[in-house]
Amino acid sequence: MAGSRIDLSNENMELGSLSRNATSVGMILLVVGLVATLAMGALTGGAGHDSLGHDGGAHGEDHGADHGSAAHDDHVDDHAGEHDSAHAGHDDHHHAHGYISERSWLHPYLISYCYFLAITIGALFFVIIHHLVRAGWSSSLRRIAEGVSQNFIVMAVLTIPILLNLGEVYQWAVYDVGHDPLIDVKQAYLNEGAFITRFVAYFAVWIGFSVFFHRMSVKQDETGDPAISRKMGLATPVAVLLFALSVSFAGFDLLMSLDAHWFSTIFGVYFFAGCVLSWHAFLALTVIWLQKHGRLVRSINSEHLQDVGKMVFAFTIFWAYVAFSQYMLYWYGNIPEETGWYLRRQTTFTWGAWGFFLVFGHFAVPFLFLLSKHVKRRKTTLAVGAIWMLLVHWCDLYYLVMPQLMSGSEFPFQMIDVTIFLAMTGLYLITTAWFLGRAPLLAKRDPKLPEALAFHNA
Amino acid sequence: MAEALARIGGELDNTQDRPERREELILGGLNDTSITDRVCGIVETRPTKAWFLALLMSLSVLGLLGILVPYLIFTGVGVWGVNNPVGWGYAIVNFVFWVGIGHAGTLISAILFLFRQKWRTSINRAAEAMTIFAVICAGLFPGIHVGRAWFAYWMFPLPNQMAMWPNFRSPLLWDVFAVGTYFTVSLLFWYMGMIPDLATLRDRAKNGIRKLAYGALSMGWTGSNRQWHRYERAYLLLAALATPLVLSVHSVVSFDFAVSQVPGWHTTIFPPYFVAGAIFSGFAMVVTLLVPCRAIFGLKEIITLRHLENMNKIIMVTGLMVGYAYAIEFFIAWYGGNPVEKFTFLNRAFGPYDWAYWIMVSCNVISPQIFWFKKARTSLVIMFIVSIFVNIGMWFERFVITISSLANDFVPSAWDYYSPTWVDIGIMIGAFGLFFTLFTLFCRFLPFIAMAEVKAVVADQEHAAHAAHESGAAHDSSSGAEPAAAGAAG
Repeated sequence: MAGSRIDLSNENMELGSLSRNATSVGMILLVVGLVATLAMGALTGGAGHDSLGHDGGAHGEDHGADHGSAAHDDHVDDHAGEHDSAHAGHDDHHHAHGYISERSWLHPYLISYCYFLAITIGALFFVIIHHLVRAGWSSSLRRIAEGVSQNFIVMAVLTIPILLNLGEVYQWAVYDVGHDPLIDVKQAYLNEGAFITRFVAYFAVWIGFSVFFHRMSVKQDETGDPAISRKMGLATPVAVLLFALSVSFAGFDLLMSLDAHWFSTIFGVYFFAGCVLSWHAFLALTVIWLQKHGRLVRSINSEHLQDVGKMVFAFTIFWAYVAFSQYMLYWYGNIPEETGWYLRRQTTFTWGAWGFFLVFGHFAVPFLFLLSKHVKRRKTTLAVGAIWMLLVHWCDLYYLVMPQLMSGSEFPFQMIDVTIFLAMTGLYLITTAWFLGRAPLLAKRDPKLPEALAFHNA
Repeated sequence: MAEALARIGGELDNTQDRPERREELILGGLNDTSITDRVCGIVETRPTKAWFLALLMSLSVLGLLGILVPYLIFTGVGVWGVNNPVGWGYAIVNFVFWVGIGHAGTLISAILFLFRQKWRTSINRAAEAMTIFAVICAGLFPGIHVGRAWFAYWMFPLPNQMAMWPNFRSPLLWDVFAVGTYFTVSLLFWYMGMIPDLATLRDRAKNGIRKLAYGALSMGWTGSNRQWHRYERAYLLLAALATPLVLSVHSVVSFDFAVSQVPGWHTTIFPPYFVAGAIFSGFAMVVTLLVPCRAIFGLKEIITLRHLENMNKIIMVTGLMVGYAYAIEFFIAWYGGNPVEKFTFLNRAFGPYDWAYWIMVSCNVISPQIFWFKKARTSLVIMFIVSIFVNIGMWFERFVITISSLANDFVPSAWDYYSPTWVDIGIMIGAFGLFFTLFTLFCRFLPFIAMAEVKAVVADQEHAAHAAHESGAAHDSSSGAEPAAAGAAG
C-alpha cells in the first residue's frame, strides 16, 4: 500500500466476535418471528390456505372493488375514473381477475423475500458496476458488498416455498386454461415450468457472478496480483448484461405477474431502482455498525459515507422518476386494463393514503433530508436516513403485493405481515454475518485501495 | 511522465487498463503554457482554407433552409408529405432527433462532473457547444410545424385580451417549458464555464476589436482567488441543477408520444428509454465531430485515445440500453395481450416500414456491438463509421416511432402510407447546415477546449507522478490542486 498515508497496520478488518452479536440478534428475531407467525396463523387463520381452491371461482366475493380488468369482459364501457362498487353481474365472470384476492401466508412471505432479494441484488450490482467503471473510491467498501451478495445462495433456498406454492399468490398458476383470454395469451411465459426454469437461470447468473467476484477478490488478499483485478474487470460487461435481463424479468415474474392481466414496460426498472436503493441504505448501516465496533475505522471515512449517501439520494430520485413515469402515463392514458392496478390502490382511503405516504415518505422527505452533505457525512443522520429508506422500501413492496387482497377494498394488514418479515430479517442477519465473517472485511491488497484511502470529495 | 507510451495507429496509447494506476489523460508533456498556446492558437491564427471551405459548405446547406422555410411559411404545410393519419412527419422526427443530439454536452459537463470524471474536461466545451446548436436546430421545427408560423408565440402562455391559452394539459406545452429551460441552463452553464478561458483570450488579444469583444465577454475576470472560489461554487450548483434537466427534457419529449393511446407510443418505459437514446445519439455526434476536429486543430494530446475510447464505451452501453428497451417493448406488446399493440410491433418489423425498422436495429443495436473489441474502440476509422451509423439509426428510430404508429393504427380503413416530399428532405438537410455553420464558427471564435479545467488535470497528473516518484511519501488527493492550477489560467 505504498503511497497511502493511512496506516492500516493495526486496522481491525475481521468480523470476529461481532459475528456472534449479529447472530444472536438474528436468532432472537428469527425465533420471535417464527413463533409469532405460527401463533398468529393459529389465532387468525391467516397462515392457513384452506379456503383457496384451485379453481378460479373460489374467490369471487371481492370483485366489486376492481374494474381494472374490465377491458376483456363485457364491461368495456367501464370508465376508469368512475368507481362503482355495485357493478351488477361482475361476479358472474369468475375469470375476471388476473390475480388472487384471497390472503395466503405466501403474500407476506413474498414481500419479505423480495425485500431481501432486492438487497442482495443491489450488493451484486455494486460489485459489478464498480469494476465496470474502474471506480477507485469504493474499493474499501467492496468486500462488504461481495460478502452480502453471497446471500444469493440463501435466497435461492428461500425461493423454494414460492416455487412449490405458486398457486397461493399467482392466478396464472391455478386458472383454468381457456377461461381467461388475457392469461391464455401469455401462457407460454406464465406457467409453472417456465417460471421455475427462469428462476433456476436467474440464480445461476446471480450465484455464479457473486461467487466469482468474491472468490477472486479474496484470492487477491493473498497475492495482491493486479491481474486478478483485470480479470474481474473483463467479466463485468457480460455480467452487467445478464444482470440487467435477469433482474428485469425477475421483477416481472415475482411482482408484476401477481396480476397476470396487468403489464408495464418500466416495471423491471422499477424493481431495479428499489434493489439499488435498499442496498445502499443497508450498506450505510452495515458500515456504521462495523465502525461502531472498531472495524474498518481507518479505511472507511466520512468521504466514503458521503458517497454512499449520495447513492441513496440518487436512487431515491431515480425511484421517484420511474414511479412517476409509470403512474403519470397510465393515469393520462386512462385505459382500464392499465389503470385497474392503480384503482385497487386508490379507491379506499387506507390504500390511497399509503400511496400518498410513498410519494412523501419514499421521495419528498428523504429528498430534502439527504440533500445536505452534512447529513450524509455524519453517522447519526446518515443512519436515520438509511433506516428510514429501508422502512419505506418495505412499504413500497407491501404496496406492490397486498392491494390484490380483497381487490383493495379493505386494508389487509395482519400481524403475520410483520412477523414473517421479522423472521426473515433474523435469518438474513445470521447468514450475512456468516458470509462477512468468512473473509476479511477489507479487500486489503486491492491495487485500487490506496486510491480509496486517499479519497476526498472535491 | 512515468514511462513512454506505445502507439497504436499513430496515436499515443493511454488506453491500457492497469488496476494499480490511472493513465495520464493529457499527453505529450503538455504544460500550462503549451496548452494555452495550442488552444488559443486555433482562434488567433489566420483561418485556414479548409476552414473557409467548411464554412462555405455549411452555409450553402444552410441556404437550403433559408429558401425552404420561407417557401413553407408562404405556401403552407401542404408542401410537406404529411397526410391524414400521419399528421406528424419529418418535422417531429427532426425535432426529437436534434433534442436527442443536444443531450451529450450537458451530460458530459454536469453529470460527469458530479461523477468526478476528469476526462470530461477535454471534451466538455465542444460537446456543450454542440448541445446548444442542436437545441437551436430542434427549436426550429415546432416553430414551423404550427402551420401559421407568425403565431408561433402562441405556444407560450402569454396573457392576452382574447383570453386564449395553450392547453396546459398538453405535453406539447410541457415541451416548450422543458426545452426552453434546458436551453437556458445549458447556455448559462456553457458560457459561465467559458469565462476564464475568454479572459485568457482577452489577455492575449493583440488588436482592438478582439480585446473589446473578449473583454466584454469575459466580464472583468481577473482570476483572483475570490473569483475562482465563487466560480467553482457556481459551477457545482449549476451542474446539480442541470443534471435533472438532462433527464427531464427527453422524458418530457417522450411524453409527447407516451401520454397518448396510440399503439406503440403508450408505454411506460418511454421516459428512461428516450433519455438513454438521447445520450446514445449525443455521444455519437460528439465522436463524429471530435475525431476530425482533434486532428485538424492539433489537439491529439488533449483529446486522446482514452477520451475517445471512453465515449465509445458509453455509446455501447447506451446502445445496449436502447436495445433493452426495444426488446422489452416487443415482449410486453406480446405479453399484454392487446391485439392492436401486438400488431403495431409486428407491423414495424415486417410491415410497410420494415426497411426503416431494420435500418434502426442494424445501426443502433448491431453496429455498436463491435465495441466489445478494444481494437475497434481505439480505431479512429471504426469509431467514426459507427458514430455515423448511430446518428442515422437514431434518426430512423424517431421515424419508426412517429410514422409507423400513426400510419397504421386502430382503423385499417384510415391507413395511409407516408412519403416525404422534397421540401421535407430539404429542410431536414438544411438543419444540418445550420448546425454545422454554428459549429464551424464556434471552432474559430471561442476556446475549443476548457483550458482552465484541463490545466487542473495536468496539475493532478504532475502531482500524482511526483507522489509516485517519492515512493512511500505522503500521497495527497486532488483537493488542493485545482485552484492553484486554475489560477494560472487567468
